[in-house]
Amino acid sequence: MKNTRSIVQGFMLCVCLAASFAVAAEQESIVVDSNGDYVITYKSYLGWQKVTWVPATKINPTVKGVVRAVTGKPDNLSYNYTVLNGKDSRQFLVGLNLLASNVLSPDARSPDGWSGGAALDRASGSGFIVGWSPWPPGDSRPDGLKPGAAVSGFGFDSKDLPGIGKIRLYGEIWSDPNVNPNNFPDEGPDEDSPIYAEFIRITNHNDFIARLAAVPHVSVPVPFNAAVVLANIQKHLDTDLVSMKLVDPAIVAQMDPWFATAIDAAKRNSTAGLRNALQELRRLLKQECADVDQEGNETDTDDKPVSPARIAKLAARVLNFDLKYVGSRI
Amino acid sequence: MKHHRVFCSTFWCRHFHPISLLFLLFAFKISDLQAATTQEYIAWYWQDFPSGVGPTADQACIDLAAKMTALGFPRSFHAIVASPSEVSYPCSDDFLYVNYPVCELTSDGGPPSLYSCTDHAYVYSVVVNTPECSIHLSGPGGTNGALVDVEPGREVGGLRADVTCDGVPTSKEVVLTVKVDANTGGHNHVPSRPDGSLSPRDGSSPLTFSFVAPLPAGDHSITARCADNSCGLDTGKVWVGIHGLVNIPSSGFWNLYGDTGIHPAGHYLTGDAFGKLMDLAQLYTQVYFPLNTPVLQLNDASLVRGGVFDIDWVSRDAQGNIIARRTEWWTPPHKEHQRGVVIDIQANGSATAIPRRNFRDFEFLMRNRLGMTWLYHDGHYHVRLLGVAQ
Repeated sequence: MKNTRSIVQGFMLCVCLAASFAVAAEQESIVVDSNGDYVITYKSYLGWQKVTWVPATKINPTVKGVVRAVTGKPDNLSYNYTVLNGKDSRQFLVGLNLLASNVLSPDARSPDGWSGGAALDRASGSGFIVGWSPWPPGDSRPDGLKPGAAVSGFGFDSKDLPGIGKIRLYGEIWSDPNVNPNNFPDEGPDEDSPIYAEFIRITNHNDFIARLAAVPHVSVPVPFNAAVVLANIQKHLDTDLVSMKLVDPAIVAQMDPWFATAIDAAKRNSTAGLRNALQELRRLLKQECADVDQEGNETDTDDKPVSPARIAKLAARVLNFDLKYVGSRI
Repeated sequence: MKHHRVFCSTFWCRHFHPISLLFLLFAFKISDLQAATTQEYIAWYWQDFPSGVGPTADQACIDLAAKMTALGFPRSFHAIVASPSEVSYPCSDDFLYVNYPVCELTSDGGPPSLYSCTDHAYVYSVVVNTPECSIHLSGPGGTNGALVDVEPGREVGGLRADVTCDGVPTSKEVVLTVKVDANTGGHNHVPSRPDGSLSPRDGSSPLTFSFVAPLPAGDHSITARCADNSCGLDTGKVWVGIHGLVNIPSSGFWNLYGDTGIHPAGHYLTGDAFGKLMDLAQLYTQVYFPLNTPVLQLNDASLVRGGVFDIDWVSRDAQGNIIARRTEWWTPPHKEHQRGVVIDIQANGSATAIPRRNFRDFEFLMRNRLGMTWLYHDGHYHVRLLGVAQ
């Protein structure tokens, strides 16, 4: 009798647990599992679904950029990048791209095992996407950049001066060539689902790791016009760099009057006045960043000001390069 | 009520007489017969007494009785009779030598009797001018003469219904209705198609209202009329859709498929999205896989005017019979595919599809080189050509 009762009680407990589990399971959700993947549970026209999304973000990369004038071609600037896949990355690095205001060729320089090029950025209506993928195509894995490895040689030429922009880097999501990762049975959560916004954020808007670097951003007209270029540099400083929190508005307030002086001198063709203003601007930058004239020596902390500096080192070097370039063209 | 009324022996009376009035009115009304006119009935009692008015003789008499009662002479309409030739009792109402129908009004509503007062009033018809009213719909203007254009699922205002009578703006109660035009917007299926909605749907003119477009693109016809049907009606259209979509042409870089009788044109994109598609197809076939690779098989993009691209998703048994209907017409899915920036590319393992061995590099091409995003499902790549989910 006792055994029977305990069996019945045990059975009832199992039923209750199963029922409560069923109730708990039928809720749309996005959770991160132990692998760092997103488990997406949702209800579609096919019923309840559970899909694992492997993000391309299990990498910790570093990007170092160098911008140089092209010898013999004063209108051309050469952009070059070295990419390091951090030792603690859990994926190979298998792609990168950036937005450039101008490129001089659809072809891009690539290191061995990679191929890249530029295409119009039709989403924004202006500028170009410059991107690289492992090469040649085909099932020749492992390719890409393994954790701890670095490679140089990504580059292209542009007529525009550098500003600060994002480079997007992507990790490898394919673990089995015969199994599609991130394979949905349908179109995913409905647009009125409570998890839809997060679903889109994870799968569409933010499936990459971003790093700041010097990218073509400051428009340089042909023929060269110092006043226009200086105005473009100032605009990048006042709006973009401030909003990215790469520069303290206090130093912007110090630099703006010298920009105004420089632009005015340029319009009046006053070479001496222009040189003087450029010198003052560069002096202000050097005050904040002693090695502002060095190139290609960015550190991991280059994307934010390090107290007591009021400008991030990368931003200071880029601005300094731009100002030096204007001085070299007058 | 005691009085004497005399039939005028001369054409013009010293007293204002209904017969004269009748002739006068008739003379004036001849010229007005060609304008908008209606017939009215007058029940005339006495020159210093208000007349009854109505659309019928009976109504005119009833109206007169009410006015007499209000003045302290309680009367009710009994009947319209041929003119009595005798004085009626007991209120001594003289009625002599008159051949016209008259209202018979008694104090108790019954037939004349010794116990009730009876009065009689001439009743005759006149033709009167009524104002000519018309209703007019207007809006900001739209495609092909539409009142307005609006995107699917959005609301647009600035629509108006105005009533004028004889050219003068007039306030009248207006009623609006709306109906979707069948087989418009790229949808060649009809049952249960949703109409747009109006807000408000009625009110006094000038009436300003808005239109809320449903998810499917197409044309909607709005009809406006006066609530009393006195101003005719006017109709106007609302154009619902996305502007600027272009049809993907045939090309050596791809093959188009998937158009059906229900949706005969499902390969529309924005100009920018089409440009990205060209970039993708060219790089895929000329750079990435120039040898022994089928061209891209392009399935659904957007309909000719965008909006919801509905599909009939069913589950079938082994014999092909439908065992479950998963979706409803006129609603998503498809999700997205509404604004010309998304396209489905076949990748289902068939001989013409993207080979499985190419999937990874195809994804690199889309994302790394061209900044696209995608969702892989049901054996195809749902490609967001501009990186946005719309």
